[in-house]
Amino acid sequence: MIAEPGGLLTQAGRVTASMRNVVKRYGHGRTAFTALRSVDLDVRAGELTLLMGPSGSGKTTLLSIMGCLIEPTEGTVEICGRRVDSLGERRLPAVRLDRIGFVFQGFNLLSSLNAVENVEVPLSFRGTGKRARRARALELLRELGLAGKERQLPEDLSGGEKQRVAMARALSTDPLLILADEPTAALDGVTGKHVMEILRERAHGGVAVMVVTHDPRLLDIADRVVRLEDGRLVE
Amino acid sequence: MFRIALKNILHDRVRMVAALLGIVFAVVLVMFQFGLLSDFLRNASAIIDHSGAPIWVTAPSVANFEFSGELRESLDYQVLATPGVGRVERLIMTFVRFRKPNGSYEGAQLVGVDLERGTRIPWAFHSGSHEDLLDPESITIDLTDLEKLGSPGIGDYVEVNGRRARIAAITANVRSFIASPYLFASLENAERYAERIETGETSYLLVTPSPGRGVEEVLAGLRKLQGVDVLTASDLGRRSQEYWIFRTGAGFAIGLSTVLGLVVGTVIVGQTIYSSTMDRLKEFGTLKAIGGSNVHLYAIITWQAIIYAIAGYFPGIAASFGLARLAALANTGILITPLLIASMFFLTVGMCIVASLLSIVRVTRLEPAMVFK
Repeated sequence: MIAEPGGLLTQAGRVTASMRNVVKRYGHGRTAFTALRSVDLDVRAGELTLLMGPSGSGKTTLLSIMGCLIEPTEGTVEICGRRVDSLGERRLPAVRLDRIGFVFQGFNLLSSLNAVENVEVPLSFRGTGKRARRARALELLRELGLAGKERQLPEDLSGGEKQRVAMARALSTDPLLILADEPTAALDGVTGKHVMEILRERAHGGVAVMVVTHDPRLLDIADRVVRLEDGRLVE
Repeated sequence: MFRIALKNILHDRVRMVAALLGIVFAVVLVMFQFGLLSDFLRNASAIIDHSGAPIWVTAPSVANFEFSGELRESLDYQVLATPGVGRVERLIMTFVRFRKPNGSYEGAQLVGVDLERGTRIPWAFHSGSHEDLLDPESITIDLTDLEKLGSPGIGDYVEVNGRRARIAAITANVRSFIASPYLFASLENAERYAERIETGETSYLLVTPSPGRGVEEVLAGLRKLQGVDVLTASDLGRRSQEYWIFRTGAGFAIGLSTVLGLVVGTVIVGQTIYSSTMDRLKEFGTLKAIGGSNVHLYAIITWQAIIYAIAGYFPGIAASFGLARLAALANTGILITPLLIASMFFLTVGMCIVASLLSIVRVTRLEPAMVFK
């Protein structure tokens, strides 16, 4: 058993996110395009899973479905044992907020907020009090080596620092699932490795982490690698 | 959400200044138009409001104070004989030609007031008093009309309808709704200058009930009189105001300018908020992706609108007061009341919220999955 940051107990290896027979089609008629074809995938707590594949293979679509950003055309998706594939846009934000942390290739920080305020955003969505969320944000920034950078705007931070702020934001709500889209693509080798080590550390702390990447240098850091080709999973 | 909204605004100073200028412009324009309208309306019923008499007897179907009819001689005795009537004042209202010291003419409104029965009209003097009007040939002019009437001083002689008149007093801001200045005189002097009023006739009778008698009771008695209308002062005042607003182009013109001010303000603020939203579309998408609901996004955009409204409102009000002072120098009244100031606040907030609706629609349609594109 592994103590989760959120205080719950998670059994390492337990399935945190699961997809069964997931199909995703875009468009209709002659313009219809199938991005995912009968995908079955489990992402487990305590594991860092790499999702690899060529451009257009369906990685982003898979990530979006697992992240509850879009609904599949067919199939079922469960996050922490709860079916989310047809919850609807009114109820999905709460699932994303409570269960999932996102890390983006372009960092996606709010340009008008400083580092600590960026980290606080998901907590403010949750209604966490000002003091508590400030304390949590400062703790995470310190943990990720950003002490002294708390009041800086994103434009004044380096790429690696921005990504660590984005990771602190993703971790602020103690998610059970972290989805990272090419988190090292905009970073140099050393910084990218540091970012991946943070993700692996979180995975080994009991969180399920899935990273979409093209970077073969990350293979040795992953616990598991799955490949997508033409919308089909090739493990 | 408030903090995000505030930081978004402060982060883009150029856009903030553009939006604030738009709001200040709209506030000033709307305040100016409403202030102008309020002043017009105040002047349209000013004599009625200041008379102190709660009941007015008029010729049938009088549309407003200026367009009075004639009431027959001796009617005032019939009115005085009505049960409950305590006091009756005569008031003459007629248009006259005023000949300026330089020989040119100006249209004016001559108001004959019942000095013997202690009239309150006119109610403000710059120099002189009611007593000065008792002398033969005495009339008043208003301070704001001095230049228009050729700048005569106290004691100067002028002509009213071809008869000699002497400036005996100067009133202070007792102005007519229409362009013609008010000249006040005693009933006797007014009868001499008026062309269409015979001796003993009058335009209005101003009735005050006896102590302890109610207005409604006296109204009921007076309404038995034939060939006249009997109105409360507030009904006649409202009738005068409504005439000028609805039966002339004045209300429409002022209303149109007011709406135009609001539309211009809404467009400027809307355009600013919308372009800011479009620039930050990916950030709004990110907020959705990381768990923000549409309500959170609406709150951010609405707070932006409210912050803009508050930040633009106060300088707009200050500028309106400045403009009202400038207008006063040009003899144009702008009446800024506490009610107008308070209403303008809500109008400004409403305008900015309406301006943000397009942005709200845009973020509602935003797909959170766009963060991966």
